[in-house]
Amino acid sequence: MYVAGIDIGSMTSKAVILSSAGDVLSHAVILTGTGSGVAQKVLDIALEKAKLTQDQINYVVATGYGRVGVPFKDKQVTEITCHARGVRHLFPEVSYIIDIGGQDSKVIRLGLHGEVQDFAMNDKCAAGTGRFLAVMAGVLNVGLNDLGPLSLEAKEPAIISSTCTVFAESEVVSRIAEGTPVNSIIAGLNKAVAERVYALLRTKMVSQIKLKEGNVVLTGGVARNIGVAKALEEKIGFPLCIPDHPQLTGALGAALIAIDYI
Amino acid sequence: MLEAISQLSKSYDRWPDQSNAVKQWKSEGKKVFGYMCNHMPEELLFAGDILPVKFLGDSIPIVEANQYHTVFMCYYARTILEMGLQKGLTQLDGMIGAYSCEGGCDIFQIIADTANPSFYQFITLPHDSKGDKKEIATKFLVEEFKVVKRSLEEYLGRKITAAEIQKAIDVYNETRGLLRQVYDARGNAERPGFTGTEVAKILNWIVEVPKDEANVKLKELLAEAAKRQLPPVKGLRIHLSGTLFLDTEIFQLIEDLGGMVVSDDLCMGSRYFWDDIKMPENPTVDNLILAMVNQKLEKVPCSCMCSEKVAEDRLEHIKKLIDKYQVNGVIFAVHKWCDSHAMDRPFMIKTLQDMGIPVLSFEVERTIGDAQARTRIESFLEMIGGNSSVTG
Ligand code: SF4
Repeated sequence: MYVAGIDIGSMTSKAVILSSAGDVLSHAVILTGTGSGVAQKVLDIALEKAKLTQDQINYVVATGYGRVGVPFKDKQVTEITCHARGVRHLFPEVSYIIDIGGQDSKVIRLGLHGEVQDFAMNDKCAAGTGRFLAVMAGVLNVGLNDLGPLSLEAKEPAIISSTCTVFAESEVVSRIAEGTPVNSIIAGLNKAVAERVYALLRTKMVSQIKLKEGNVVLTGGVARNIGVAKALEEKIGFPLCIPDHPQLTGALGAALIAIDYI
Repeated sequence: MLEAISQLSKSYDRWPDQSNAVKQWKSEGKKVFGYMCNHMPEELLFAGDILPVKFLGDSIPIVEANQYHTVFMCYYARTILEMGLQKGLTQLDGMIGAYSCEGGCDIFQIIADTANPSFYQFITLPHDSKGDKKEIATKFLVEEFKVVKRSLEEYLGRKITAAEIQKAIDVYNETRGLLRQVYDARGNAERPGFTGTEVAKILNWIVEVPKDEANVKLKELLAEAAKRQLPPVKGLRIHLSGTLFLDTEIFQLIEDLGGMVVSDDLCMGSRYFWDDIKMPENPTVDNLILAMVNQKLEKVPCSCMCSEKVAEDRLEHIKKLIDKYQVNGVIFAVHKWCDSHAMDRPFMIKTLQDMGIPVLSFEVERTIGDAQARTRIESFLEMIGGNSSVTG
């Protein structure tokens, strides 16, 4: 028997196919784009990789912003619950999850048995999210995937004081005009995202569950940006756990939940 | 939804000028006044045959109001100003403001200024009325209410008698009792008589219509509810905390997700009606006014009051309701820029969490209807529902 987890995010859509024993058979990530049919597309790619057909999939759990609109889902579960499940599967010691996605960033605190104890999401605003970095990459004319490596070359990060995407954009433009090196600007942007997300983490930290190496996991597409990860690690004081495929934990969690229903 | 509850929306409108209740009342040659905050003594108006209608606000885009007032104010109040500027308050003969939050007072005066009704009065309310301040606060508010009464009498060209005030208090107390019964019917765990959304619709309607007629309707609704066979709530039982909403979306969303709002401390909810006015043994005008003042100063407080222990008193009310209606979790959905409520929130959240009650808190602007609010509420319900999938 097989199951699928589909995570339709604002920037990318993900699918994970598991066997009923929990083995990952395939996964796929594509840009969400506009129009309908993205869920089917991403599932088709994953099916092809797993050499399966859709009627061999016994249960589908959908998550992410687009979960409601996945036509072939058997169940929908929020991304908070799915991330928690997926991350705990990969890191059984996890207590805090920091997820930085395209449209939102979130912090999830887990209890001893992996139950979601509390969570926080950024306000409806793109500051501190992948979208913020995507807009800035556009302004700087560099690839989104280059933001991390480029920032590591910076001597010191430029100060980006505005947390608002719109205002930060004009701040970036004036930094360029001042002649600040691009890698310093990028390092400043990564730091701004890290600071914003760290502040979110602070709202959900409790004294009973201390941050320690091994219990803080960074996920979401932005986890692939080494600059943000490093800036966060600097704030937290130790290395973060980052899954090999940080974008896929939501879809993985959804697929794991699907196994419970077959 | 009970058909009779769907029909309620026909008798009023968020825009007072469109309201059938307002049209009907005025066709009888009687006056209609608008007000914003629950501190306004509705009974005094009703005693003078004036229909008080609470401003409900509307989820409209704000176009004109920003020229008159800063945007750092709850969307609710700004939409009332917008209505006034769009000539939607022309049928109101008067407006009475009562001191509430800073922004509320401020904007109410601008609304009155721009809508220019034929009667306008502002009631100053002592913000600190507990302990050794009680006596002086009571004296002060008694004088304020007497000033309102005198101004109304001048405006109407006749006296408002003790018998009329007593009757108005009786009518309003009856409404309060009936609304508590509505809450009890909804809160019945085995066989709820109403859904959360239905009760929210009843509350929107009740503040816009004459209470004597409304009491008849409320009794009919309660009788229908008693005959109803609604299934028990399968999901979580939620207490909703905040002020008011510009639609009933949040109630519906929680129901769509399998839960139900079974209790609240909204100013368009239990804080509107929970406390009766204690009828004095000797109902003279002075005694009746004193009774009204006592109720205003002792009722479940709004966060905009500054008396010591305001948040604690409100929390006591919430705790009682949590027990009474077997609540599983509390959702704070407070308007962005509502500073008074934002001030009390951290203390209230912490106390509830320390008691082991799960809490979700987020800010509402125009409506709650965005994907993120939905995800927050849905995740919260999954979280407290002990979704075994998470821990499995
Ligand atoms: S108390 Fe809050 S919701 Fe009510 S008028 Fe004042 S700011 Fe608006």
